[in-house]
Amino acid sequence: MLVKLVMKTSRDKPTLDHLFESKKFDLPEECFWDDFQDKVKNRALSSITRPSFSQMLVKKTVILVPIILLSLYLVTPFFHNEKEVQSAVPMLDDLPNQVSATEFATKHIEVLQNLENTNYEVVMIDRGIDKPYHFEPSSFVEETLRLGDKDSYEIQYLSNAELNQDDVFARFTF
Amino acid sequence: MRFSSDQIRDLTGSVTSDQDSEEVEYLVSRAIEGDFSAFDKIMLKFRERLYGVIYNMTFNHEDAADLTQEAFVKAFRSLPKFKRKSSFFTWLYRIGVNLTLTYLKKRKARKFFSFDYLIDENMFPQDSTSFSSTDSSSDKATLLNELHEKLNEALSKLSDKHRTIVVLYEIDGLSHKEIACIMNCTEGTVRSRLHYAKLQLQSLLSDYVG
Repeated sequence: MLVKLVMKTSRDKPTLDHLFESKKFDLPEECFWDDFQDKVKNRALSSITRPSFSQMLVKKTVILVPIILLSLYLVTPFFHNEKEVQSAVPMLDDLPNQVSATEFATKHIEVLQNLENTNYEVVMIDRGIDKPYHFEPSSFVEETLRLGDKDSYEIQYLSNAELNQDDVFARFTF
Repeated sequence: MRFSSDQIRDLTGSVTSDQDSEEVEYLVSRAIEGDFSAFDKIMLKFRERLYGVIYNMTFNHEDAADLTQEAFVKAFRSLPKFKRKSSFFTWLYRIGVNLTLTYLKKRKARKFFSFDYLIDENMFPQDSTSFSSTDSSSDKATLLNELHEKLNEALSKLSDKHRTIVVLYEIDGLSHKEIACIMNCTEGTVRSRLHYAKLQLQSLLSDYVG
């Protein structure tokens, strides 16, 4: 408002050029520049040391590739053994349902050798065993094992504890 | 035959003398080789003028300081790409002006979606008193501050490109050719924009200037 008052009373208004000229001196004081150079220097240096995206990618690749290769190297034997087992298994599948252990050993020694070379424990399973479950109404658990071969027919009762409801009630009646 | 000051400015250029430009060229060569002390000297040479241009484009001292620093950092990083097709100061100004124009565009977009304009309305009175004079109690200094304030207000009403041209030509004293090089446009465009901008300023400041 002071400007307007002064301008109205004064005859010699400044020109636009005078105003621009005076604006040239509208600059910060000396103390403003004190840490300016240092700030620019720090920013410039940090921008140089801060890696770009491509540099970061290269750096990460250099670190990650050996780790991936090492883990692949460590995992490969595992897959290798799996392959050995898989190559042996089809031979087992070709076998008839029931063979004696000695017969199997003489005929398929190669399969056994293959399996022994792996880190797996070889367990012989008698594939002739049927394992049906029968539940008698008077018992809680009953398991019957039956050999498939008619000549060696056998029934085994692993658990045949007959329990009826009266016994249960009797046990918990005071 | 007499030349106007505008013609002299266009013929001779404005920022550096031949001796200065030789020195700058030498400092630039050293800075490209990684000598930061040479770049320090370049900064000392141009920092005030670059700051002045950026301040008169943004009217905010903090933004101006930050953008000036950013311009120097960018220039330092891009030194190996400097092909010497133009003078170093033109190249440096182009970096500063482009950074500022991008910043102003972002600030406008931000203002559109926020209440920043409430703060910006009080920007001129806060800023104008801080640097202009050490003796703010005197009437003369107050009058000058208020005139600068009015000029800033009028300049802020111009488009970013018009304002940049006025600042570069009228306040920083660059030639049409140099401005055309910085703004990446023709000299004719610079002249017409300058003419239109000055007419607008004259009308906005008719109460205060003769």
